[in-house]
Amino acid sequence: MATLDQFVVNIRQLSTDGKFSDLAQTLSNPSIDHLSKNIQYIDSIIATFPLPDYSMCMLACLHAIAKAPNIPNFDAFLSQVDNFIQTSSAEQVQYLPQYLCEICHVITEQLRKENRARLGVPILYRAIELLRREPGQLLSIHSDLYQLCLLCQWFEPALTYLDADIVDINRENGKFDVKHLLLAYYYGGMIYACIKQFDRAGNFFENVITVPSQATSAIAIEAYKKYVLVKLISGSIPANPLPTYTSRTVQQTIGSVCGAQYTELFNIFNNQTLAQFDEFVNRHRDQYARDRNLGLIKQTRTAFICNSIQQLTKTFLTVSLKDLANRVQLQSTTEAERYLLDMIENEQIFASINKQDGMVIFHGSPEKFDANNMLAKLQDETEKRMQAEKQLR
Amino acid sequence: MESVSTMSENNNSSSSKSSTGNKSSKYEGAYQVDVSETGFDLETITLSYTGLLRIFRLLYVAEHCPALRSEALLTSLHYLKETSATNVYKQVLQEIKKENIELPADFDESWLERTQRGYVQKLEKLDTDLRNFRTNSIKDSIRRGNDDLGDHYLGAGDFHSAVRCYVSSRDYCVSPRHVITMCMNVIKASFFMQNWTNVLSYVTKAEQALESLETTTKSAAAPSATTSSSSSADLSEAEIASRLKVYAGIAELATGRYKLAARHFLAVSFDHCANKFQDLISPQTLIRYVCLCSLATLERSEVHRLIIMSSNMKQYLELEPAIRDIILDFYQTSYSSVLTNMSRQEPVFALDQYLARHLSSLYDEIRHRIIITYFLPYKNADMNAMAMKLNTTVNVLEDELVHLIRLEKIKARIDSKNKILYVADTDQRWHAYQHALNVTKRSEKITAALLLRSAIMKANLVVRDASASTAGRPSKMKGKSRGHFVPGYPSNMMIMDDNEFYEDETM
Repeated sequence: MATLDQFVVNIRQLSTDGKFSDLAQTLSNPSIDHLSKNIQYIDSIIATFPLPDYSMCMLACLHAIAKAPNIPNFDAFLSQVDNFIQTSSAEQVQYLPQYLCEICHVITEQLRKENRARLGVPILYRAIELLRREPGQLLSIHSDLYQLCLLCQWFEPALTYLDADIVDINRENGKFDVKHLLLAYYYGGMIYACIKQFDRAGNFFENVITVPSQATSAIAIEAYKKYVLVKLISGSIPANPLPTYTSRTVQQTIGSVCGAQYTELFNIFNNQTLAQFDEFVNRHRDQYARDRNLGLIKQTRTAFICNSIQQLTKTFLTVSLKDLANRVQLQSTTEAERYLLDMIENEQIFASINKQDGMVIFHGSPEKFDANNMLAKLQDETEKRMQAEKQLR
Repeated sequence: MESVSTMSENNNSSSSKSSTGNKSSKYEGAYQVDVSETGFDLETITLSYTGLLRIFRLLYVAEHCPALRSEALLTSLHYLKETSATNVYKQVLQEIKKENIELPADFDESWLERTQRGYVQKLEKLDTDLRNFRTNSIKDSIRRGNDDLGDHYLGAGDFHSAVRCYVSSRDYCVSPRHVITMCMNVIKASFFMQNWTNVLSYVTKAEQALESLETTTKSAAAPSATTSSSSSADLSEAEIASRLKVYAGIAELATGRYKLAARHFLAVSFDHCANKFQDLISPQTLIRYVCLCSLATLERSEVHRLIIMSSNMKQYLELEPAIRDIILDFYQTSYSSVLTNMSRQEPVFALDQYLARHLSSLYDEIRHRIIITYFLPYKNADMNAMAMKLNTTVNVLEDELVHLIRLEKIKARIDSKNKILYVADTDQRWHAYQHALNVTKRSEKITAALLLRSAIMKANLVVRDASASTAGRPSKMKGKSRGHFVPGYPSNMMIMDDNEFYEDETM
């Protein structure tokens, strides 16, 4: 007890003196980890540390609680943490980022087990606000936040962080594990897929796959599977599926593990008919179900039909509805009409249907690129690219 | 079309009989051909060929043409007596007995044993000779000994050993002429074995040797003396060159490279072919190959220049009026007669063992080329007229056109309502703008990815083997690294996803 008191006095002193780096070292020194050894007194200790002056000490105490084998009163702990985040001083917390992150990990884990993800979202949101030094910095808390958002299907908090491009990664004093990076992008990709922004989802999954690796992580494999499906749905089928800076081990593992079921889909998409697609999907239905990708597969089927119809626009000027249904192997003309209407609304094709004689007439794109705003938009985009390029250097 | 229908009745192989659908294996395996309408006669084979090739061609006809079967078998038996191919003889005899064909009056029962005994005796003699030569180690006699042994095997139909002997004589070749002889022998034996890669590689070797031979003879001051003395025994260089072209052409044809085959065949001079190549190819067969390969791959102007206007080719064309009609009609764009003539000649083509397998793809290529050439001068064409010219119906034609447009061989679009084919006009300006937008999007993605990657590098993050897990080899990663992080993790995520993606409504 005496050492504990001494310890507390010590850190209090350092705090008031403003020697934050020393304080950080003292607190994170595992050999004098008094706090976790004396966990039963932790509440009284906490009471002695008013915020925001003693943020670091408070943080250390909270961290000790979090690291304990079981947390006696989780809800109280949650409100403590919430309180802490809202009232602490960012400057002090910056010295011990890994503590805050670990606390967040523990919270996430607990909430997930209890299925109460919604509670955690605001807490983590504010935690990230607190900790990150610039908008483009990635923390391990990001992956936790995305995970909770996915669990409770509340995406707005995540989107604010997802839309910012990442240019830096916070080391968190060496505790940032690559797993968090992979998870952050994996969950991010899934969130984008949920809100149907498939382009960006594809980019995120690609980022997971291209992280430098000497060994393949299961996250990367799952990401690849979703990547294939998302790419097909968004309709952009690249020439070679993966960028060249993917590491060798990842490529090999992907080829051996999911080659047959997923990479094959690329070929089928381009060259084969709907019946063959359906047959292929049925054959591998178990695998897809195991990966829980059935929903994506359904969307891929729709994309396949749209793709076939688009190919028809390249070969035909006018075609009868019946003929269209036959060529794309749809069940009936009404179904064909339904798909056509969808696509016309989404501006994927430009056509008009003449119900009188059952003909579909394909037009060229009405976008003439004449308007000023088009030109201005182009100019804008180019400038943005050049800026980003400069930043890269 | 008539002969095709009878063939499909007789056809043993049940698959791939539909004319529009399966393009590949129409003439593979056991098919039967009815040549009654083409005036095809076995005499053409028996007169124009000699040696083993004649036998093989006759046997091929026997296998696939029921009408001429007995005649072909008997004739081949007759000519087999001139060779020492006892295995083939036995096979043919078996076939004859199975078919219950009457044997001719002068059938010699004991020919088989006699020839076999003679074969074995000669083989022993040649072997001992070769061994003697080897002990004496005179290069030239070893080479000639190997050659003779190889010839002996070749005559009996043992092609594998023949190639072996010829290749072993390669080490003892001194002058280019030796090399040429060796190459020619290997080519001949590989040809019968249908080892096309071998044929092609040795053809290139022989051509190189020929070139060096030409340079040496040119530099030598007495060319006439050497050539006149050697022409009696060996072949002259031009003939060798032509021979090589024929071998190369057949090899390319058999491996499906029709354009190269056409070019090779076009270089074969008529004099050589008609007079000297009886053990290899007849002019009629050659012109048939030329016709099909060049119509399938050459442009119309090239067809005109290389075939119709060439004096060399004219002599071939005189021998086969049907082929001449096809080619001239193609040039004059009377495509319907081209197609009718081609289908009439189809059974004859099908009886050629090198051509048969590629017949359907060649026909398809020619048909596509006809369609493409037809459409070249038009901006829009009426599909009804087109279908009439091409002997099909509009629907079939439409399918074919869709196929061609997909393969990007025609740049056109179909107006299915009025059945008109329009040339596709590309709006260059629109494409340019669209391309610019795409490029910006792609560059955005790439810069973001690169920025992230540089951040990763800076933080020194690499996916490493979890040192806690046991073996941790990449192949086991799927199982092991699930211990790398909490097991239920991703599957938990996916429950949500599945429900989400199940409905189509957006969140």
